[in-house]
Amino acid sequence: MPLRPTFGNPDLPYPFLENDQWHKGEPINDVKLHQRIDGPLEDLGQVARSHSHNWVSFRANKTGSITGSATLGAALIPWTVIEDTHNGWQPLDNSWHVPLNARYLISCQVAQSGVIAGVNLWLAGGTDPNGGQGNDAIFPLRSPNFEPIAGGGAGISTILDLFTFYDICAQVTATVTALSADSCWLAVQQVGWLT
Amino acid sequence: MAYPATPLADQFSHPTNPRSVLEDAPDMHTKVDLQLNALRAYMFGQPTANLAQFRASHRAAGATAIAANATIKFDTTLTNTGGGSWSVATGLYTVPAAGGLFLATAVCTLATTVAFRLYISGVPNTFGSANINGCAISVIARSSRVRLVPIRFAGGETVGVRPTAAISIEGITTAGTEKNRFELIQIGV
Repeated sequence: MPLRPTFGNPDLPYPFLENDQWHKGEPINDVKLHQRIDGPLEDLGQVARSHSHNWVSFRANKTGSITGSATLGAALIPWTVIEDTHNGWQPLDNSWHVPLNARYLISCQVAQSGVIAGVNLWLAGGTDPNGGQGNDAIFPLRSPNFEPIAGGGAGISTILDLFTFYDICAQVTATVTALSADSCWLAVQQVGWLT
Repeated sequence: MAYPATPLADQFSHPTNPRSVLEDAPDMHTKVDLQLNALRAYMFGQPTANLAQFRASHRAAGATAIAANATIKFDTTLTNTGGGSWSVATGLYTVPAAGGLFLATAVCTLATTVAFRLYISGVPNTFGSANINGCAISVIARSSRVRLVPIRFAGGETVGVRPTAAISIEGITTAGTEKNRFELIQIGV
């Protein structure tokens, strides 16, 4: 019985079954079948399985005193790592190294226990291997000021397409006392892929 | 939910003759068509279908007093899909049994100025704690919020929103003015 061509399923995505990969009269053997069916199927399966499974996830929090600085990159927050699925945290640099080219949701929050004003949060990334910070910071995002009341805080949520040469880190512009781990976090969650 | 079994490394070899190919119609259908169909169904189901969405708002006509650390009972369900359940009586959302990756947002606007923070209680320990605190109130804006925060749920958690101090939620009665709301949007499995 001749082998059927594989154009019977037109809804399948490019490129696995697009074009005519079987030629009339072409002898078929198990190697060709393996290359043209098993291989693409395996690729598709890997994409399906990894889609939202095993996404990169980094979560960290902080309590106690946080040394701040008005100079960007001068006093990065030494987060306490709770989860780091792809081992991106660089403890000596207080920065998180992006392990995969992908789209990430980044959420960062710092709240402090006393009354303080004029402080804000920086979230930044760069290519400087020494913590990813300094004059070459690529995307320093700065929050509004802390509210001048007890328990004031500042937060940033953003989605960024990041490449593996980025390091992500955060700092506040003046020294504060973190309200609790519940109130201070840096979360980086992969939410998509870059192609 | 997981995609079914990995295709065999070489599933077309004849079981006894390595130079031959096993290719009868039912066999090819099983090994190719069914796998492709399953894969298509799986991938077309991602990432938007069958994911949970939950949004609730508080629309009381007048200001509503909430005690410190009391769960806010948002009374209007705007969206609730994907199997999770919301209880107005308790103010708790039960995460679907399958769990997954969610984005959490909570906002409250007050009738009077109070220094407080919103927090989402009952979240799993992906942040090392059972609660996530949002920003403190702004004196002018009289609001507090937990911004988009990714949280991974194991499934079945009961989650609610609480203020750290006694507050009075601003009255809202109509759709489109949802100043007090709680949202959990699933973005992955």
